[in-house]
Amino acid sequence: MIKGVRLSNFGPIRSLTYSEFSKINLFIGANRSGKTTLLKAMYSAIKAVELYGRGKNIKKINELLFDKLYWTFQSDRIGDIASRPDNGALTFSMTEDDGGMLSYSFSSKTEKQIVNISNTCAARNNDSVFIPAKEVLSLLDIIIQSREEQRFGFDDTYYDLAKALRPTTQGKNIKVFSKSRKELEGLIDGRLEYDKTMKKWIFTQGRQKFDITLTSEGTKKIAILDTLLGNHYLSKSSIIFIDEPEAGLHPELLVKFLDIISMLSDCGIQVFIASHSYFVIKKLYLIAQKKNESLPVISFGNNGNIQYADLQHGMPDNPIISQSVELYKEEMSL
Amino acid sequence: MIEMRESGLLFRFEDETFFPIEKEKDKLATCKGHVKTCECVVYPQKGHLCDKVVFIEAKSSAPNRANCIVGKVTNDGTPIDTEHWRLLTPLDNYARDISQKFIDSFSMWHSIDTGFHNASKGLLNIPAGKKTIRSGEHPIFVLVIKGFADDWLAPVKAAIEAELRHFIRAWNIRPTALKVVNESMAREILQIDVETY
Repeated sequence: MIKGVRLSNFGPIRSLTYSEFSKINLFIGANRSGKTTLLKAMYSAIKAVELYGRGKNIKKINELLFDKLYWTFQSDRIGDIASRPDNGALTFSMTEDDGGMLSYSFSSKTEKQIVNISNTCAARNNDSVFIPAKEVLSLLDIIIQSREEQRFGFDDTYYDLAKALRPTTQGKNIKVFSKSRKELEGLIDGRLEYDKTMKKWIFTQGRQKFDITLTSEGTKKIAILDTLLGNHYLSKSSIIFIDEPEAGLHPELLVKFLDIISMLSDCGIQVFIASHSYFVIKKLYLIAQKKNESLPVISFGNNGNIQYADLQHGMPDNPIISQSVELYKEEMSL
Repeated sequence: MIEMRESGLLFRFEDETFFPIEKEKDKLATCKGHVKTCECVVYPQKGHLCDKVVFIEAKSSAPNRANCIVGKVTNDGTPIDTEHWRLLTPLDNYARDISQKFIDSFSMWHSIDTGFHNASKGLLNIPAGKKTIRSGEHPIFVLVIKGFADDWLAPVKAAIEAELRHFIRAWNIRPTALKVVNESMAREILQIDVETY
């Protein structure tokens, strides 16, 4: 489990330090304020740790991290991720709850290699996943093909997810996930299946089968999570990064989706969510209250100002809630 | 100036535009004990609500939508057969109660105006220059919840709005007639003279 991060000069993030991550964590803020950058930075780091020393992989940790940063942020030079050259090097460190730490730094001139890196994280046998805002199912082959042809377009959050969805031998449900899967399938009244004959994903509802392109974005999003739980890609110590879960989901489905996320976090999965949505904040606030558990919120302001709060202690001041209140006040004044 | 203390809120209204409908209804035999009403009816002569007939209810709190109980009820809350089972939350009950108060108050105001209560009219302290709600002069229904956070108001309003929907449509009242506010919004937006005490 990731316990803390420290970043400086990382994309739009000037400086950020947090050391109290919990089972579910929320990043909120306006567009281009840094919340997705933080999500991707953490994802790149944890994926590098997960891949390091696994199977026949003989790449060094700095090579794995370089690849992951390069393909996740898709800048011509990874030095471009350090957006404020005058402020010195980009630095990043991530600590795990067992004390392991991955830290690195590089300057804005870096092109090919990360030299300053230290890794004391234990080997991870789990796979973490990033669920991007846009759906991947209908573009699965294109995403994999473009990356394997070394072309920019779909970053590695899409590519890794596309690979994770590749059909594998399915065994029995992991017991702790069976309830969550049942709930997920109940939400969309069906499930995703790979048709070996047609070589594509289809959505099945009872005896009816639908081409994946005819299925709604929200259904696909839920079906993806269900599939990752069913194909054993995710395990109890996986970490799920979700960018804008509200994209494509009706608020009613969204709050139920978050209930299932909460259920998964009870099984051990750690979750990081970036969102613009009032419903997400409010629902997570209610989850924190019901469980009486810490649910940290990092709120990114437009001016680079970052605030830290915990939904266990109340709703934070933030632009999403303020905007919603402003609209309400406007209505009251009519 | 008349002061009204309700649910921890102190309101101040002009004497001649203030009708304490909740107290006055008990003077009417057909209403006493049977009709739910809001705290008062006012028709301010200045400010944001100038010249509107305003029905005001005050509450010290409101329930959380997340707390649910399952019950079997009809629309008026009486238990019935299982075909009508539905999820009933404390907020639903709260919204139903508030909306009933607004609907009954509106009906009573009209009934006094139209003479249905003519026999009892002398008993009531009808304020000088009582304002009649004419077509096109839309009434306003205000619920003031003491100390309620700004961002918690919208779900409460939505719940009451759902209960009032048929009434609003039947009377062709503007959808924006319902205002659910805390005391600071009541003061700043609606310009109602109210404070906590």
